[in-house]
Amino acid sequence: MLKMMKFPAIAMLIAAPFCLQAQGSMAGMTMPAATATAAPEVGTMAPDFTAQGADQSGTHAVSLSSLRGHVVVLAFYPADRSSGCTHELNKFRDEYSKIFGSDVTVLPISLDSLQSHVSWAHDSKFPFTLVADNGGKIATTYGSLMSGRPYASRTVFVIGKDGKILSRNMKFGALDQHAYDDLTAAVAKAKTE
Amino acid sequence: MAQSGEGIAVGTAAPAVTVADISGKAVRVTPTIGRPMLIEFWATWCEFCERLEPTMKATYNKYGDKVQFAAIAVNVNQSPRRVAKHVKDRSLKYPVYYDNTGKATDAYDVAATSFVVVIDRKGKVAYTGVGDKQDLDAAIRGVL
Repeated sequence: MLKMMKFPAIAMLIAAPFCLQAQGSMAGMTMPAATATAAPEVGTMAPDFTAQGADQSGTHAVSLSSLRGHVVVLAFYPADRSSGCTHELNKFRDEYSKIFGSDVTVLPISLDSLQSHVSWAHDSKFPFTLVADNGGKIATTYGSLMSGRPYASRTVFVIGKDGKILSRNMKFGALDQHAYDDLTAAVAKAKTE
Repeated sequence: MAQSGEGIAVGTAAPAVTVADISGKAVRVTPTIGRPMLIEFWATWCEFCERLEPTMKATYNKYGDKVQFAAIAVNVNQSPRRVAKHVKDRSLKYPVYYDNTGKATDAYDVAATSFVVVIDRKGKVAYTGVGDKQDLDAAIRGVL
């Protein structure tokens, strides 16, 4: 059975309200100056980016264009270790083969620091790389930055082997099974195109 | 309204939602003008929800005649059958529903289980909170 919130309860007590109610700036994080930008449309080329990412083995650079030829799932989320985000990424981990299967690169991405990603990836044994969107530039490019707040909103883009956006969900429901079902179908379809 | 799964904002109008009761029948959960309401979004697998359950029970026992209650189970990683078993095993007296379409979770912008919304007599969201240590008594007193 999938259990939510595998990290210590005290961390959850701090993080959960943060995810739900935080306003203004997060400690140690600068509020992005960028204004809201429209998300790239389905059928257009996914905007390229290069950023640092973290997985269980450590840190490394991630370049979207270098993943051409693979289906990529880009999943923006608000904050490491917050409740909804933990549920979402734990479900991605626990049902990886069902939702994504082989030949898919899953890239959860948030404005958290690389150090935070390293810690969370290690603790949760995620089978994917967490991308650190320093300053929220990538989230802005993908229309996935909360207005006036230093968090990515919860969105998911499925990018085809040719680098084009095949589907997007601009309000991914971390607590709605239909969202995962739709993502599973979108990934399966992307593999055939 | 808060964006993208961060919880419905205090002060906004609480939406009516259609969910299913534990027998599978569609039910409209609608804030009633003149009567406060408490909605909890929960799951059988949520540890915080489990720890919040005694508070929910106590709050219902104290205010159930003055306040509408709705405990809406999210539709992820649990079945209606499992929710029904939980209701029976835990002897839950307050109304329990299942968000079979996910639309209730979406309408209230729920990011986390154990998310509680208290709605005032005017149908506006007066309180939101998450976790197992919520002062629901105070939240209810604020809308009575």
